[in-house]
Amino acid sequence: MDLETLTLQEQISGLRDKKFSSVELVENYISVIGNNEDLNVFVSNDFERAIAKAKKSDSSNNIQQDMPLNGIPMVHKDIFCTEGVKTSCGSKMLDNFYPPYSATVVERLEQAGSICLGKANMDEFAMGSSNETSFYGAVKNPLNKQKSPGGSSGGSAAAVAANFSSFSTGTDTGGSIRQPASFCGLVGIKPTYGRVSRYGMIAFASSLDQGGILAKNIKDTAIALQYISGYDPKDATSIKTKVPNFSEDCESDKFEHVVGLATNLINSFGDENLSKNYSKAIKRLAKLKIKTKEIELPNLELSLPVYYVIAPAECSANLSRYDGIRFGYRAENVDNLEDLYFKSRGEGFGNETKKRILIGTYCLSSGFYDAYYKKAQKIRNLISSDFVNAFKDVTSIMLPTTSGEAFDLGSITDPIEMYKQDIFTIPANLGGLPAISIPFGEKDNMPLGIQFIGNILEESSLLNISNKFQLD
Amino acid sequence: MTIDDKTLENLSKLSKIKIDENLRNKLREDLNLTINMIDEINKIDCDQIEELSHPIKDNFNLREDKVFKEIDRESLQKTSNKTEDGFYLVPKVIE
Repeated sequence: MDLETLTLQEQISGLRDKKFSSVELVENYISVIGNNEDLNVFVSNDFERAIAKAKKSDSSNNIQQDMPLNGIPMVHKDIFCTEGVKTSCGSKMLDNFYPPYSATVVERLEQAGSICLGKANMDEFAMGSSNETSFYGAVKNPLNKQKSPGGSSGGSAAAVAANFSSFSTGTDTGGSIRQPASFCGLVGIKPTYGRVSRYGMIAFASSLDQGGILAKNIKDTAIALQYISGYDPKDATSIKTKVPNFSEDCESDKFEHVVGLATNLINSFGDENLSKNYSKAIKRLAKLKIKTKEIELPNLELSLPVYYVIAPAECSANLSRYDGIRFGYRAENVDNLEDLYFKSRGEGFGNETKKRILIGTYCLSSGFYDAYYKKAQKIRNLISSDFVNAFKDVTSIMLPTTSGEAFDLGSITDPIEMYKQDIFTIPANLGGLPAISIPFGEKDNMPLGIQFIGNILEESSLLNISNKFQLD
Repeated sequence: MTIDDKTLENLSKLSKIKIDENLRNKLREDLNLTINMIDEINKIDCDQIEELSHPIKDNFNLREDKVFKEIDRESLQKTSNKTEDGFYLVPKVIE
């Protein structure tokens, strides 16, 4: 039995039925990881502790009821603080950072019994769509090593695609879970803003950031999502509401679906392959007898410029905490306190991060605040209203995840071209809406993805429509 | 709007980031491309629209005002490589 290819669901039942042990699972993954180091997936590993935890898990299988993921190995994006384990956020700034506490997402998955194998590489501070902005170098796409795995959760996606774990955590500020999932042939879900606690998740743009899951299939995604969701008093923006049973809901017959289609919008891009894959997805819905309705999203095309005001503005405020004093990189040979700030930040941040802080600073500076930041927030309201209106008639909206398949590493040098990677994923973040990418179609032997966007807190409906869509 | 050398210098000061000479031209070029792209929003008339700063309306959950887990000073300060007697060390600021 190839343990590394098992799904999360198969691992849970296999451990329960004692077909294999947690130690066998962990050791097998460590061996697979060791044979594929060139993919550059991990910033740091936690193998020793993982084996110790697996041994403990094997001797305590009777607590399976309370710990549904008992003994299951997994991988965290290196943006989640892990107590005593290096948490770099893909940056030189945090290359020496060993957090004194763990993120709520990490704690909850630990409480469920899962075992972290290591921390996955990512774009620096989650700013990037290719994994190339990481201080540790780009991750390679396991499906074709010349290609990018996407970003910013590229390491998390590559880890699952390369069979280093059955699922991983990621974060999504403008598409950072869904685009890598699409590039690596996986399922990736960004839940509703506030469904998953942001406590201990290193901040990029606080009104957009949301943690989520990458996995090989929808059922596994639903299972893992269950254990990271729910209200957390440590995050004032987390939503106080009951978490549904995602795993049951994804296979339930209780959901009625009307899928919103944006055919005119997709065709307006004039990209033949994009339109072709979208119309193939529409045909699939028709074949499955799922109701559809054409909708208008008139302000959607403004998402990109709005995002590139709001996200950098929030990032410039969030990243002001890196002062070289309390934690993180500290420059040597400085003349005075001001010089310490300038040099620590100048030497500790990579170019993309610097660029975004500078754009944010510009948009928030005196004389430009109204023209950029305030204006972007107004248009964010228009985009959000487009969704509110659409959801009066439909239960989800289908869009492509990306405009194309994974691109070659190093092939996109124009920053705006790179930013356009997230053109179909950003709108859900601006609206705080849940969205899922599932594999659908392929081009040049690389997978493509299709995306379903749901109404607020409707992850169950999204998982359900995705599951139906794949049952062809 | 255009970002020239003077504006870049001001942004560097405001954000307290030292910008290397060899990066300056490329950075200015990229910033201008981005500003040019985001300037699209200024073509839209939305004076009467309210701003949206938080995607989920009316979701403010204040927790009870009590300490739930205290991270002690010693553990917190382990993340800094320059501390003394519970204080962070910085270059001299008072002459």
